[in-house]
Amino acid sequence: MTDEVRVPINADSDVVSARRQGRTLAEPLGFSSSELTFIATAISEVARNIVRYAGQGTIILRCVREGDKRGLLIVACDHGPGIADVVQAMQDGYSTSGSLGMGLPGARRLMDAFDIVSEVGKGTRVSMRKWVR
Amino acid sequence: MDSFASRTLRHIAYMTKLLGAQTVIVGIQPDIAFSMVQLGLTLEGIETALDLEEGLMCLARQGRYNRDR
Repeated sequence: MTDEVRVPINADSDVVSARRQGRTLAEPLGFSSSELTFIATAISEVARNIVRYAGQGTIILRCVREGDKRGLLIVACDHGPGIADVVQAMQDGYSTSGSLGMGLPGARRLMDAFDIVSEVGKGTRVSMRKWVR
Repeated sequence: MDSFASRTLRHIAYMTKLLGAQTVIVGIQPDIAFSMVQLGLTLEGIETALDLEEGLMCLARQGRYNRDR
Protein backbone atom coordinates (compact mmCIF):
# COMPACT_ATOMS: atom_id res chain seq x y z
CA MET A 1 0.00 0.00 0.00
CA THR A 2 1.40 3.38 -0.95
CA ASP A 3 1.08 5.88 1.85
CA GLU A 4 1.35 9.02 -0.24
CA VAL A 5 -0.79 10.18 -3.13
CA ARG A 6 -0.45 13.38 -5.13
CA VAL A 7 -3.57 14.54 -6.92
CA PRO A 8 -3.21 17.29 -9.53
CA ILE A 9 -6.13 19.72 -9.31
CA ASN A 10 -7.09 21.46 -12.54
CA ALA A 11 -10.84 21.09 -12.85
CA ASP A 12 -14.01 20.37 -10.87
CA SER A 13 -13.73 16.66 -11.66
CA ASP A 14 -10.36 16.55 -9.86
CA VAL A 15 -12.12 17.68 -6.67
CA VAL A 16 -14.15 14.46 -6.74
CA SER A 17 -11.03 12.43 -7.47
CA ALA A 18 -9.12 14.02 -4.55
CA ARG A 19 -11.89 13.35 -2.03
CA ARG A 20 -12.27 9.77 -3.27
CA GLN A 21 -8.54 9.10 -3.01
CA GLY A 22 -8.42 10.68 0.45
CA ARG A 23 -11.17 8.36 1.62
CA THR A 24 -9.42 5.32 0.11
CA LEU A 25 -6.14 6.21 1.84
CA ALA A 26 -7.81 7.00 5.19
CA GLU A 27 -10.12 3.99 5.36
CA PRO A 28 -7.51 1.31 6.28
CA LEU A 29 -6.14 3.57 9.06
CA GLY A 30 -9.27 2.85 11.12
CA PHE A 31 -11.25 6.07 10.92
CA SER A 32 -14.98 5.88 11.69
CA SER A 33 -17.43 6.41 8.88
CA SER A 34 -18.29 9.95 10.03
CA GLU A 35 -14.59 10.82 10.30
CA LEU A 36 -14.11 9.57 6.74
CA THR A 37 -16.91 11.89 5.66
CA PHE A 38 -15.25 14.79 7.55
CA ILE A 39 -11.95 14.07 5.79
CA ALA A 40 -13.59 13.85 2.37
CA THR A 41 -15.50 17.09 2.99
CA ALA A 42 -12.38 18.98 4.16
CA ILE A 43 -10.45 17.76 1.09
CA SER A 44 -13.35 18.87 -1.06
CA GLU A 45 -13.26 22.38 0.42
CA VAL A 46 -9.53 22.97 -0.12
CA ALA A 47 -9.57 21.34 -3.57
CA ARG A 48 -12.55 23.47 -4.60
CA ASN A 49 -10.64 26.57 -3.46
CA ILE A 50 -7.72 25.63 -5.73
CA VAL A 51 -10.04 25.33 -8.75
CA ARG A 52 -11.91 28.53 -7.93
CA TYR A 53 -9.06 30.85 -6.98
CA ALA A 54 -5.81 29.45 -8.35
CA GLY A 55 -7.04 27.44 -11.34
CA GLN A 56 -4.56 24.69 -10.68
CA GLY A 57 -2.59 23.13 -7.88
CA THR A 58 -1.90 19.87 -6.07
CA ILE A 59 -3.35 17.93 -3.16
CA ILE A 60 -0.90 15.69 -1.32
CA LEU A 61 -2.40 12.96 0.86
CA ARG A 62 -0.09 11.12 3.23
CA CYS A 63 -0.48 8.58 6.03
CA VAL A 64 1.45 9.87 9.05
CA ARG A 65 2.60 8.52 12.39
CA GLU A 66 3.50 10.42 15.56
CA GLY A 67 4.36 8.09 18.43
CA ASP A 68 1.32 5.83 18.82
CA LYS A 69 -0.86 8.13 16.80
CA ARG A 70 -1.77 7.39 13.22
CA GLY A 71 -3.44 9.80 10.93
CA LEU A 72 -3.81 11.44 7.58
CA LEU A 73 -2.03 14.59 6.43
CA ILE A 74 -3.58 16.63 3.65
CA VAL A 75 -1.60 19.40 1.98
CA ALA A 76 -3.20 21.63 -0.64
CA CYS A 77 -0.81 23.90 -2.50
CA ASP A 78 -1.12 26.24 -5.43
CA HIS A 79 0.73 29.09 -7.08
CA GLY A 80 -2.39 31.19 -7.39
CA PRO A 81 -3.07 34.80 -6.34
CA GLY A 82 -2.72 34.07 -2.62
CA ILE A 83 -4.89 35.38 0.20
CA ALA A 84 -4.39 39.01 1.24
CA ASP A 85 -5.82 38.62 4.74
CA VAL A 86 -5.56 35.07 6.06
CA VAL A 87 -7.09 35.98 9.44
CA GLN A 88 -10.16 37.34 7.69
CA ALA A 89 -10.31 34.34 5.33
CA MET A 90 -10.57 32.10 8.40
CA GLN A 91 -13.71 33.92 9.62
CA ASP A 92 -17.08 32.27 9.05
CA GLY A 93 -18.93 33.88 6.18
CA TYR A 94 -16.01 35.83 4.71
CA SER A 95 -15.58 35.39 0.96
CA THR A 96 -14.13 37.43 -1.90
CA SER A 97 -16.08 35.47 -4.51
CA GLY A 98 -19.68 35.54 -3.28
CA SER A 99 -19.45 31.97 -1.99
CA LEU A 100 -20.70 30.98 1.46
CA GLY A 101 -17.33 31.68 3.08
CA MET A 102 -17.56 28.52 5.14
CA GLY A 103 -14.89 26.47 3.37
CA LEU A 104 -11.66 27.25 5.24
CA PRO A 105 -13.12 27.82 8.73
CA GLY A 106 -15.34 24.78 8.20
CA ALA A 107 -12.43 22.60 7.13
CA ARG A 108 -10.55 23.71 10.26
CA ARG A 109 -13.47 22.56 12.44
CA LEU A 110 -13.60 19.20 10.66
CA MET A 111 -9.89 18.44 11.18
CA ASP A 112 -7.64 18.10 14.26
CA ALA A 113 -4.87 20.41 13.05
CA PHE A 114 -5.01 23.14 10.46
CA ASP A 115 -2.36 25.48 9.15
CA ILE A 116 -2.42 27.97 6.33
CA VAL A 117 0.40 29.94 4.76
CA SER A 118 -0.32 32.33 1.92
CA GLU A 119 1.52 35.07 0.12
CA VAL A 120 -0.10 37.44 -2.35
CA GLY A 121 1.16 36.73 -5.86
CA LYS A 122 2.97 33.55 -4.77
CA GLY A 123 0.30 31.09 -3.72
CA THR A 124 -1.32 29.29 -0.82
CA ARG A 125 -0.52 26.18 1.17
CA VAL A 126 -3.03 24.59 3.52
CA SER A 127 -1.96 21.67 5.76
CA MET A 128 -4.53 19.66 7.70
CA ARG A 129 -4.25 16.60 9.88
CA LYS A 130 -6.76 14.14 11.25
CA TRP A 131 -5.75 11.57 13.87
CA VAL A 132 -7.34 8.17 14.38
CA ARG A 133 -9.06 8.14 17.79
CA MET B 1 -21.56 17.67 0.69
CA ASP B 2 -19.19 20.63 0.78
CA SER B 3 -20.07 24.32 0.97
CA PHE B 4 -20.20 24.58 -2.84
CA ALA B 5 -22.67 21.69 -3.15
CA SER B 6 -24.75 23.09 -0.31
CA ARG B 7 -24.93 26.48 -1.98
CA THR B 8 -25.97 24.86 -5.27
CA LEU B 9 -28.74 22.98 -3.48
CA ARG B 10 -29.89 26.19 -1.81
CA HIS B 11 -29.92 28.02 -5.14
CA ILE B 12 -32.05 25.32 -6.75
CA ALA B 13 -34.52 25.51 -3.86
CA TYR B 14 -34.76 29.32 -4.11
CA MET B 15 -35.25 29.13 -7.88
CA THR B 16 -38.10 26.64 -7.58
CA LYS B 17 -39.60 28.87 -4.87
CA LEU B 18 -39.59 31.80 -7.30
CA LEU B 19 -41.49 29.59 -9.72
CA GLY B 20 -44.10 29.05 -7.04
CA ALA B 21 -43.08 25.52 -6.14
CA GLN B 22 -42.05 24.11 -2.82
CA THR B 23 -38.81 22.20 -2.31
CA VAL B 24 -38.24 19.58 0.34
CA ILE B 25 -34.75 18.13 0.52
CA VAL B 26 -34.74 14.50 1.52
CA GLY B 27 -32.27 11.70 2.06
CA ILE B 28 -29.34 13.48 3.73
CA GLN B 29 -27.31 10.68 5.33
CA PRO B 30 -26.47 10.99 9.07
CA ASP B 31 -22.70 11.35 8.43
CA ILE B 32 -23.36 14.06 5.87
CA ALA B 33 -25.70 15.90 8.26
CA PHE B 34 -23.01 15.70 10.97
CA SER B 35 -20.34 17.09 8.66
CA MET B 36 -22.65 19.87 7.35
CA VAL B 37 -23.23 21.05 10.92
CA GLN B 38 -19.49 20.99 11.65
CA LEU B 39 -18.85 22.96 8.46
CA GLY B 40 -21.47 25.49 9.53
CA LEU B 41 -23.74 24.88 6.55
CA THR B 42 -27.41 25.64 6.94
CA LEU B 43 -30.35 25.21 4.60
CA GLU B 44 -32.33 28.14 5.95
CA GLY B 45 -35.87 28.45 4.74
CA ILE B 46 -35.75 25.08 3.01
CA GLU B 47 -37.69 22.17 4.38
CA THR B 48 -35.93 18.87 4.89
CA ALA B 49 -37.31 15.41 5.57
CA LEU B 50 -35.88 12.00 6.32
CA ASP B 51 -36.86 10.28 3.08
CA LEU B 52 -39.11 10.59 0.03
CA GLU B 53 -42.15 9.30 1.93
CA GLU B 54 -41.79 11.91 4.68
CA GLY B 55 -41.00 14.60 2.12
CA LEU B 56 -44.27 13.88 0.30
CA MET B 57 -46.12 13.93 3.63
CA CYS B 58 -44.65 17.38 4.24
CA LEU B 59 -46.07 18.61 0.93
CA ALA B 60 -49.41 16.86 1.56
CA ARG B 61 -49.77 18.74 4.86
CA GLN B 62 -49.33 22.00 2.98
CA GLY B 63 -51.84 20.92 0.34
CA ARG B 64 -49.10 20.92 -2.31
CA TYR B 65 -49.38 17.24 -3.08
CA ASN B 66 -52.41 15.02 -3.33
CA ARG B 67 -51.52 11.52 -2.15
CA ASP B 68 -54.60 9.97 -3.74
CA ARG B 69 -53.91 11.48 -7.13
